Parts: sequence; structure tokens; C-alpha cells
Amino acid sequence: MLPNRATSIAYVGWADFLQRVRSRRLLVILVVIAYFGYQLNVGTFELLYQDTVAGETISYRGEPTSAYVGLSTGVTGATILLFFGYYILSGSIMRDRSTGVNELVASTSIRNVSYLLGKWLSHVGMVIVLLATLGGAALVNHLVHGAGMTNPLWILGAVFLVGLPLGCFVAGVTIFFQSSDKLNGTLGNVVYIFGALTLLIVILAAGSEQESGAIPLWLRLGDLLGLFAAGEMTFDALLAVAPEYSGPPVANYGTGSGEVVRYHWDGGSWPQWFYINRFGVILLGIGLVFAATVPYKRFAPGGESERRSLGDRLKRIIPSLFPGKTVQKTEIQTPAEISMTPVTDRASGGFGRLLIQELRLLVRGYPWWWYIGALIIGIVGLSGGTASGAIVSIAAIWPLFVWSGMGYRTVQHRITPLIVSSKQPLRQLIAEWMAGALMTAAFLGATLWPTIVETSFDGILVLAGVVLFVPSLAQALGLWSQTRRVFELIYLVLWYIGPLNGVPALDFAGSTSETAGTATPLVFAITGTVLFLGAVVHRYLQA
Amino acid sequence: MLQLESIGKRYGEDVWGVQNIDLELEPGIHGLLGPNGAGKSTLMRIITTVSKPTTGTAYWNGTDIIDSPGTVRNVLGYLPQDFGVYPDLTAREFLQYIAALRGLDRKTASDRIDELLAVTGLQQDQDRKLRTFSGGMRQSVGIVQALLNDPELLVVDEPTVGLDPEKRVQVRNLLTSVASDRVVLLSTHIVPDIEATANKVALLRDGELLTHTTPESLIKETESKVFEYLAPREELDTIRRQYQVSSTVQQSDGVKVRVITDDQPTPSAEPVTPTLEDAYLDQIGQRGVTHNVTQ
Repeated sequence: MLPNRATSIAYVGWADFLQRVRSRRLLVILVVIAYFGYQLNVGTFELLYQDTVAGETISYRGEPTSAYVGLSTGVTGATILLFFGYYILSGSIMRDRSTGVNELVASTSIRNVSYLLGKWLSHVGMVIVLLATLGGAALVNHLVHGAGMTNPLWILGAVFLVGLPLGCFVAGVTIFFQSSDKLNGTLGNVVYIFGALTLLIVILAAGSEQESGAIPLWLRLGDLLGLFAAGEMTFDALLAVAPEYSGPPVANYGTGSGEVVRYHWDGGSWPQWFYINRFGVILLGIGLVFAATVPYKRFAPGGESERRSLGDRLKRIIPSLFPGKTVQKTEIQTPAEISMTPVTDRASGGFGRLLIQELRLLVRGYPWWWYIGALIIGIVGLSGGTASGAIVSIAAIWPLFVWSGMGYRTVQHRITPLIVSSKQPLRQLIAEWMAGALMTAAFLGATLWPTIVETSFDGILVLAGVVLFVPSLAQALGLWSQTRRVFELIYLVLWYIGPLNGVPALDFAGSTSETAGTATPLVFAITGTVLFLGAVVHRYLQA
Repeated sequence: MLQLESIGKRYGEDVWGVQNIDLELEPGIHGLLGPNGAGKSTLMRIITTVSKPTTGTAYWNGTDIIDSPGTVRNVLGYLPQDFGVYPDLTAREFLQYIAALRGLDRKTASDRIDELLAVTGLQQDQDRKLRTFSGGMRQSVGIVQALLNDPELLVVDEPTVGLDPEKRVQVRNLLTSVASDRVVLLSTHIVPDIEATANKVALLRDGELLTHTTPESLIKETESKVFEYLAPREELDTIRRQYQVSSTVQQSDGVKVRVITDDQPTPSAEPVTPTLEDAYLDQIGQRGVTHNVTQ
């Protein structure tokens, strides 16, 4: 019985893994990962200890020995997997639903937990491919740029010891989220990235407040990225060159601006607790797979959830408000009984109707709470009673659901052949963009109006910048990547840094008072225009 | 009239979807037949300008549609084999969307939608979201969208897949009624659909055009090659290996087999009038393709 189940799990995992590795998109991901590895090894960014002496920041980084390169690459690999792994790995369960494979699987005797464990194994397989790429890049880079002898065991060992368990955990989260109707879409993507950010910030903040060597065991056991382990192993080497160091005992990422001091670390034993930590993280990942069997539905037709829109719910609850047409027996007429209207003019426009339907597509199909939230944003924004920055930030994230389908929707619903075989394939693209721009203008216009009233032309420029930029980014990335995840990931990161944290250079939405009157809106407007042209080129190539 | 000249489509290094296709399609229904992987959908994508050919070109009323795809797109109705719908639009909204894509004015679009929904029996369901439609109903929506712009060139790939027998007949009637003075290219595996509607049949195999002729002449080539006889059940496998078996009918005293062969298979075998299906199997030359009927 057990060997049979193990075989089922292995086959599910193997088939899914093959499907993934034969995708051309994997190549792009691997190139990006290798590039990350290169940038890390040439010191563009690095794990740094930082201290402030007489008002000046001093950064401490290790010499690029095999041990140090392995350790920093491993931690970087874990960080990449924590933030991007979810977006790289997710899609396997949804793929089975959209291709109809889930119906076949549902009719077999395989148990849900076996199926999900198979998918998890496939995800772990992908993690191994990603880490092997990163480790391979680190090896090559150490050969070229490193100090001392290249030790493959140290480099690859560290990469896998730190990265693989975290990958197993992220794979488990992915399986859990994909199995849930509520979390398998845009909402899940948003929840994940903020969950990951929160986790990292909490761990780093807790660790930075401790004295070196005094980080409590419970905190060390929560060290997902291996930062505390890295600190414990390298701290003595740091003190050897900087005995007066008084900064946090945990290294963080940075570009090493200002004075940089190098310390020499040739490796050492990994702390015992770290092995327990890694084992626990793997178990957590497997536990999430078992937990996923609760929300997982064995068969969901067409990958569509059974969620009903607010309108559908109201119709069910109070049918008297929506009497509709009286159901009659369908009478089918033969073509001979009907005089068909001849079509003589096939160039009568129709752009307005196309725009209306594109608007309908953008605003339909969300859970009820999304519409309530949109209404609240509108009311609060128009009342002008709240601090502008906060409401603008919210208004810049709430329509993520609206934007993320742009460009991708025609692929998702297999409408592309009908569009590219129409006389003017570009019209749909323009109509979709305009619908997206109108939605953006509605959300941001309702919240930015105090800025516009206050700054006049500068405020209008901010609104124009965001209206040009966001729908163009969504549409171009949706068209080119043929998935919504690329846009969602890039946009979320951009939004987090810019509008939410108020970094003026990336504040495309104008949530800070410093944005209006600067070149930032213009830069985003130009970027948006370029992106839209990119989408046009894509459609032109399709047609 | 649609003319294809030396059309070829290559995938990868040396895999040809279709190759050296020369074809002239005059007004009427042209059935496109061929086994799976014969290149039917590839050819249809080229004709509908969704895909560009690697070699050759195609002309619509003398205009090169590879250079000027707008020429054919203006008059095209297309039902792809694997087509989709927007699940959050109602049937009517989706058809309005396609009508707008095809450049129809509001009044004409509305009239055409009403009329075509009436002939496909979807009037009562027009305001329901497409996510609630069954597979057959979605297929009917697909057929309606292909006919919205009163196309001069109608390309339909497996239009009757998923439809019940009654709906299949309706679709056949609909295609016949619209085909009087326009070009209809109908691809299907259901040979009786072709038999009931097509003026001409194009046979594809391994990406090459075997023939483009009338159903009668195709059937004529198979005359005196189709036999029926009663055989013991245990011999059925041997017969299948030996002959092209067109159909079998289970009877109490054995199996009545219908075979396609140049010579009379047994003295008791009687020559019968061939059908288009017999002719198709004879041309394609597949062994073991049968339709079983139990009596």
C-alpha cells in the first residue's frame, strides 16, 4: 500500500517537474537567478555588518573566501526564495485545473494528500534547480573573483543547507495557498509578499536588539534565512578586525556605501541548533501540505472557483428585486423562418461598445468585500477628511485585482485567436488600456484631488503619470509574460517602496507631498508610454 | 474565392504542420477531413491570418492575405477548435464584444445577435453569465459569434463537438443556409456532418493535401470496394488486421463486418454502396478504425 502511494506521489511530482523544466520561462528565471549570484559575488550588494562611528557609517564585509561566498550565497538564495519563490513555484495546481488534468486526477484513486505531496515534491525539485544555478554561478564567480582556493563543498553545501529547507517551506506555503479558493489568486499574492516582509522584519528587529551570542534559542529556531547562523559563525572574525564594533550582531543586505572594512573568515562548524532549525523548517513545509488538504477541492471545473459576485449573491438572496425574464420553453427557429439581417458595413466603429465591455471585464468577478473596500476608498477620498498619503497608498493597491488581468485575460480565456483575426486587432488593446486608465483615474482621482486643488498643474501631472504608468505596466507585462504574477510581483514591490514607504523617486502615485512638482510623475508617464508601445508591438507581432 | 498556393508551415527544425498545399475554395461548403495531426487546424489558422505560413501565400478574391490580412479579416467568421469565452460576461455582452471587434454598427449587431440566438435556441439564456453555460451552450455561442458579421468566408473548426444530435442538425442547417454565396470551410472528424453539408471535400494527411473533390467523386472511387458479411466473433481481430474495417454490427450469430478492400474478402461477402466515411477511410488508409453497433 505504502510503496504504491509513494509511487503515485513520485509520478505526480515527476510529471509536474517535467512540465516546468520544459518551459522556456524557466530559462529566463535561471538567467535572472544567475545574474543575482553574479551581482552578489562582485559586491554590488552584499551581507554587511554596519556600525556608526563618529557619525559615519562603516560597513564590514568578508573577504570572498569559499566559505564566505558559500554562506552569503546561501543566505541570498534563501532570501530570493522567500520573496520570489512563491511566484516562481505557484501555478501547478491551477495548471491542472485549466488544462482539465484535475478531472482525470479526481477520477483516480489517488488521495488528495498524495497528489499535493507530489506537487510539493515538484516544487522542491524546482528549488533544487534554482539553488544549483545559484550555487554554480557562485562557484564560477569564486574562481574568477574569489580569494583562496575554490572549495565546491563549502560553496554548494552552504547554498543547499541554507536555501533548500527554506525552499521546502515556501513550496509548502505555495501548495497551501493554491489549494485555497480564497488565496489562489491576487489576494494570495498580496498576502504572501506582506507575510514574507513582516516575517523578515520581525526576525531582523528581534535579532538586532540582542547582544551577540545572546540571541535566545526560540528566536534562533525561527531564523528562516540563516542570518543568525551567519552572524554566529562570522562574528568573531569581524571582531578580529573591529574589536570596537558596537552594531547589531546580525548582518543585513546593503551596497556598502561609505567606508568598507574587510574581515577574513575561512569557515567553521555550523551551529548545532541550525541543523534542528533547518529540519524544523522542512517539517513545517510538509505540514503545510497536509494542512492544504483541508481547503483543497479535488475538482474545480475550468480552474474557476465557485465564488459568486455581489450581484449574483443579491439575486439569490432577494430574487424579487431582480425579477428577470420569465423562463419559457426555448423555441428554436430554423434559419428559413428568420430573415437574417444582412451585414453590408463591417467598418462601423464599435470602439465605444468594446470599451464598455472591457470595463465590465475589469470590474466583474471579485469577492464582495472588494467592492465594499472600493466604495469606502471613494467615500473617504472624496470627503478629503483623511491624511492624503494613507488613502492614496490604499487607492494605489486596491485596484491590483483590476489591473492584474490586463493583457493576460485574452490568453487566459483563449480569446486571442478571435482578436488577432479581427480587422483591427489593436482596437481591443487600446480599449482595454483605456478601461484600465479610467479605473486608475477613478481610484486615484478620488484620492488625489486635494493635491490637485493645492498644486494645480503639478497635481494633474501626478495623476496623469499614474494613469499612464500603471495600466501600461499591467498590460505590457501581462501580454509579454502571459501570466498575471509578473505584474503583481513587480507592482507590489514598487508600491511597497514608493507610495507606501514614501520613497519620492518611486512614488508613482503621489502619496507623499514631495512628489508633486518633481520629475517623478513625468518619468513614470514616459515609462508608461514606452510600456504601452511595447504592448502595441507585441500585438502587432501577434497579428 | 480563396486560393492557397504552396502553403507550408514549419514548426522547429524539420517538422511541417502542412506542406505544399494548393487549394481553391469557391463559394459553398468545403469539408476538411483528416486524421488527428493531419494539419487541419494549422491550415485554418493560416487562412484566418492567425498564423503566418512558412512558405507560399493565399489570396482572397485576388488579394494576397499574407501581405494584407485586413482583406480577409474584414469578411471573416471564425470558430477556432479551442476557443474560449469571458466567463464574467453574459452571452449577449460577449456577442456584443465580438460584434464590436468585427466592426458592426450597434443596430445591425443587435439584430444579428437576436436572430442568431433564435436559431441556436439561446434566447432565454442570453442574459446569463457564460460561466454558468454548459459545454454545448458555449459551443453554440461560438457558432453565433462566428456568424455575427454575416461572413463571406466562414472557417469553423469542429463546430459540432459537444453538441447533442438535435443541435448538430441545427448547426448543419445553419451552415447550409449561410453558405449559398459564400465560402465555408468546415473541419470535423464527424464525417456524416460533412456528408450532410459539404459540396466539396479536402482530404489532408500528414500535412499534405490528398485530394479536393466532390463527395460523389470521392465515393465513386470507392465503389465496388466495400463489402459486408457475417463473420464469427473470434475472427474479428484477424479481419481487422487484414482489411480496412469501416464498421461492425454485433448480432446474435456473429459480427456483421463492413470492410474496404479491392477484392471480395469471402464468397459470402456482398458488395454494398459506399458512404463518404468508407471513401474517407479508403483514402486515408487507416487500419482498425471502426464504428461498433450492437443489435
